[in-house]
Amino acid sequence: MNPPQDDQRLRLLLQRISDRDTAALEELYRLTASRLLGVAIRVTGNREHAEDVLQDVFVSLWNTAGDYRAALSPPMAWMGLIVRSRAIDFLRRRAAERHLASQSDDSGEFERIDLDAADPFDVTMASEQAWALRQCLQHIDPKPREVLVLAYFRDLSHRELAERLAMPVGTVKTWIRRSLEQLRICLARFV
Amino acid sequence: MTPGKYPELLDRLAARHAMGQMSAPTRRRFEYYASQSAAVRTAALLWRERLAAMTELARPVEPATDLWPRIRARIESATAAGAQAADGRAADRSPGLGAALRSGAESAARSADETLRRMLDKTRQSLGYWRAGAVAASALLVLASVVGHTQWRSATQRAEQLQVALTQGEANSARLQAENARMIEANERLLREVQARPQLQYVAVLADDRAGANLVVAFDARNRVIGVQRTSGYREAADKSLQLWAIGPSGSPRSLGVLGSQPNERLNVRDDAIAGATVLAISLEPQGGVSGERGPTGPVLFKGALLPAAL
Repeated sequence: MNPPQDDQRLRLLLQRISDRDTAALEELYRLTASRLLGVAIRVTGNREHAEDVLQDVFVSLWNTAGDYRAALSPPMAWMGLIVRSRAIDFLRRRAAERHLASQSDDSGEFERIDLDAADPFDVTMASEQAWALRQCLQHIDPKPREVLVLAYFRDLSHRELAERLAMPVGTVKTWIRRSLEQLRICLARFV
Repeated sequence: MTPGKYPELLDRLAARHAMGQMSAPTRRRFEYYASQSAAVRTAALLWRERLAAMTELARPVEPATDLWPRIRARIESATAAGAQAADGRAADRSPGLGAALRSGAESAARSADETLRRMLDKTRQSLGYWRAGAVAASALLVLASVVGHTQWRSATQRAEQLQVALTQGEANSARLQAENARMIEANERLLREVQARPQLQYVAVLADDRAGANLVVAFDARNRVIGVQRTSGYREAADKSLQLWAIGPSGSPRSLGVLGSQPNERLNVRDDAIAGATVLAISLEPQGGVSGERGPTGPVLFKGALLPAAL
């Protein structure tokens, strides 16, 4: 579980940032940037774009860190969602500008999510929510799970997902519906 | 479809919504229901929170080394205008605590007595020989700097860091965490109450310009003893010593003594050395320190306001 000190540390940093403490922003960056960049890359599929998104997120945190307290979420989850939102917005703006829905900047190397660790999941750093989610995800078959996770991180329709994965649309829909149902039932066992 | 009547259906819809798996019309309809019904809203938010944990499963990737400098540059150019206003206030150097507090007062004060008492109990247990109340009350709660607004803010922030360090052992106390978060807002009110009480002690948290608190100094007025506790890993070189100074409104520093290398120390102190002091400072001197008649010969590494505190 996430040690309360780490969560508390992040909370205090967010508060200090809302008081315009640049040292606190830097420390928050030091502590969280690589995890948040991982999220951004998972969405954009492109490292350079992900770094742009991350930069925007931290600059905007400078002004919105004070919003954190209303959120009540664990700090990393709150920031992770912001990164995901911004990254999706980035993709949409880019798609609109370029009018190229089919061509992608995606290098493809960040496509897969590995729950079985080549990179061991660091239980000490994860929130309870993340731990529960990981447990439940492990009960889902690898391929449907991969599709589910991809569906979460990418702003893609079923059709786009199916194209990207070279699968029938029907299969994509079914897999997502089924694995989401499995996830739902499993997560209901946790608070 | 009335989602409220069918909890399982609502749960499924909320899950799909959080996944981003709804068509635009379906999503709009669902969000409309959410705006009308707390139950729907709750389910939607619950699922959004659950799935937000997916972001914690993404593998970390090291950013390029120039990313932070770019962020900092953008922040600094954005705050350049604001900084000028702050500098104007900081230039108004008023040595009195009252004035410093007025310039530093920010948040609304909230009731803190009960909070403080509970915190003091826990701190007392963990701080041994310290007059734990003194340390907790002022080191953790109230730091007004005599040098101006921006320093006051960072000094208060360092107090928070110290609180975090001191409560490491209380990791699972959710209550203590909540108290910690409210601490900063209780500062002004508490200081007023504290100053009204007799038999005060004095405490300072000494910090440098960058990192967190480095030393905590508590002055036991009854016994004429100063307790010094090092809270950071700072270690002076073998041929150097840290020397503690008291600075009053006149500005001339008086030596309170030379620190040894122990993390905790007690120094006996003369009344006239500490009387009227509002700031304590630590300078880096040759080993054994200097006589003190002419003040510090080396650089001032840490300083902090000396504040009255309640037991």
